[in-house]
Amino acid sequence: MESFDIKMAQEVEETMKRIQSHRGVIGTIVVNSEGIPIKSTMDNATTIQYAGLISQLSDKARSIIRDLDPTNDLTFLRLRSKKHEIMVAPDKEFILIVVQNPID
Amino acid sequence: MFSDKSYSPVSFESVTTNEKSQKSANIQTEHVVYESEETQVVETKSIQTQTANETRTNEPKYDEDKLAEFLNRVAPGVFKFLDEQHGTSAFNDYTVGSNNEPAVNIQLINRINTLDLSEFKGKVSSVTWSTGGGTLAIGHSVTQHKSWCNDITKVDLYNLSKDNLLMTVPTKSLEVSSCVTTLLYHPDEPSILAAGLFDGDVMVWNLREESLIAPLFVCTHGEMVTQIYWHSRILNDASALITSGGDGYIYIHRLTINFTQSSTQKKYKILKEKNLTEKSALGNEGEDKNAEAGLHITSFDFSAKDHKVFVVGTLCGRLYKCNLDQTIPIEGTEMIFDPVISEYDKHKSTVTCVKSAPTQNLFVSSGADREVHIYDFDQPASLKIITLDSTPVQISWHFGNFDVFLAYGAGPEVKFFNVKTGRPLSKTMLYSENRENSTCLSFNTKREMVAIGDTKGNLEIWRMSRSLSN
Repeated sequence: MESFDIKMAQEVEETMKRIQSHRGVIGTIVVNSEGIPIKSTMDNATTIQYAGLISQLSDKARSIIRDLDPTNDLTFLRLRSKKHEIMVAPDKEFILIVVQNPID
Repeated sequence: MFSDKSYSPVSFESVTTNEKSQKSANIQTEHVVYESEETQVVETKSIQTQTANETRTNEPKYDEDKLAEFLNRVAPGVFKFLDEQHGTSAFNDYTVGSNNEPAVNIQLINRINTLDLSEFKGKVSSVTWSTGGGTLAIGHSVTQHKSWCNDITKVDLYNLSKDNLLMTVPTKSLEVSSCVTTLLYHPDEPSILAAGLFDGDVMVWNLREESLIAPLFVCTHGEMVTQIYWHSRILNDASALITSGGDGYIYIHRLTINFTQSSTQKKYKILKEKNLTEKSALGNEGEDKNAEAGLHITSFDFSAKDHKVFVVGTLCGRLYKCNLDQTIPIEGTEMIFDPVISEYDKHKSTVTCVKSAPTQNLFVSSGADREVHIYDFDQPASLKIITLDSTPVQISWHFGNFDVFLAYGAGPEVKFFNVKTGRPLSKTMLYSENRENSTCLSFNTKREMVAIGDTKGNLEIWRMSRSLSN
């Protein structure tokens, strides 16, 4: 069982590395359902800031989608800013946040 | 009272009185006060620092298994969006709010003759800006080849100064064994430059290595290289360089991450059978010599909508819709594929250039018949035909307004057209009396500039704002 957990942890790290090594990616954060960051490649302060704010926005966006159509659900959220593109993949238990610099 | 009696004397020892009187008295001397004061000469403070990872008591608990499952589920989608997003120019012309900048600002800022100091006389055949916009690479060629090319030419690299002016002398020159037909910087790697030559060689330089300027030879086409194209989407983990030649072949090359090795991934050929008239004309010359060759490809470009669909223009005026996913090899060959899936309305003469629209599902072709055709990728018939008074040799899309394309070639004029209406823009732009025939043009999207080469070796740099009013 322990070896299975280690394998899973390695798999998680591997996926995080793959995303992080993609061209233009400057940070990857995984947040749990309470908005607490559990994995991050960014520094502590930035991670906390992103995790708190993006999870709030993600919750709000999801509620908007559900208010518009109760049978619908939010699958992906992309934010384009002057400097970055932030991609948010929300789920029941986790939120994946990827920050990309589109013109690297 | 007196008598004579005698008495013996009696003595007794003397005893001294040694009785001493004792007095008890308490004597209290002066009260001595002892004061104890602690004095510390050196003040020390002890601060505990923990360099090792702090073991947090409130570490958030999560299920590693579920997290792995979640990441595996969302990762493909994230990669897809990252791929789409990286390098997209969809937002390039989008500005938040209006800051009342002048809408159009076009001015000539540099004009140099790139062959002034050289014995070689010819034309600027190709220009390309590096991805960061700081370097311009220029290829040279003779104006017209009457026979096989034995010219030794140079690819000159010019840097921009801090105030965005082009240096008058090249910072580096790369000697090549033949005329340069096409040059293209890598879209993501600023130091990678690819060149196609008249003798059929395709080479890639890694300019990061200051001392090592030996190019990597990618392949050799049977005839001149007509176009090269960096494709970032068809190979996941490596750069793909696609080359076309006058021999009718299109090759896809896989280049390693450090650009030190290349391998040909797939070969395509536009069969002569597609055009029976050309086949019969060449057939008399010698079946053996041309048995391997296909239709002379002059230009190709990929669709913005589907990155596996592309259009090929040929010397005989034909335009073919092709797909990279064609997996049936040509009969009699093992690994050469025929990519053609359909044909578009043809030009009356040689197709000089095809360019796909950056965002729409359209492409534009120019021909030696002095016509520019606008096509939808999904329709064989052209949407619009524009007739010009001189031969358009090249087409470029404007870097800010994706509804506008530029056609240029014979003559000094660069003509601007709106792809939706098919009409020319009324304002004359990028006109210079000193230019002979425009041969190549390249936009610098980062610095908002455009470089134009001509048939006399002149190079002009224009400043041009991204926003373009019609």
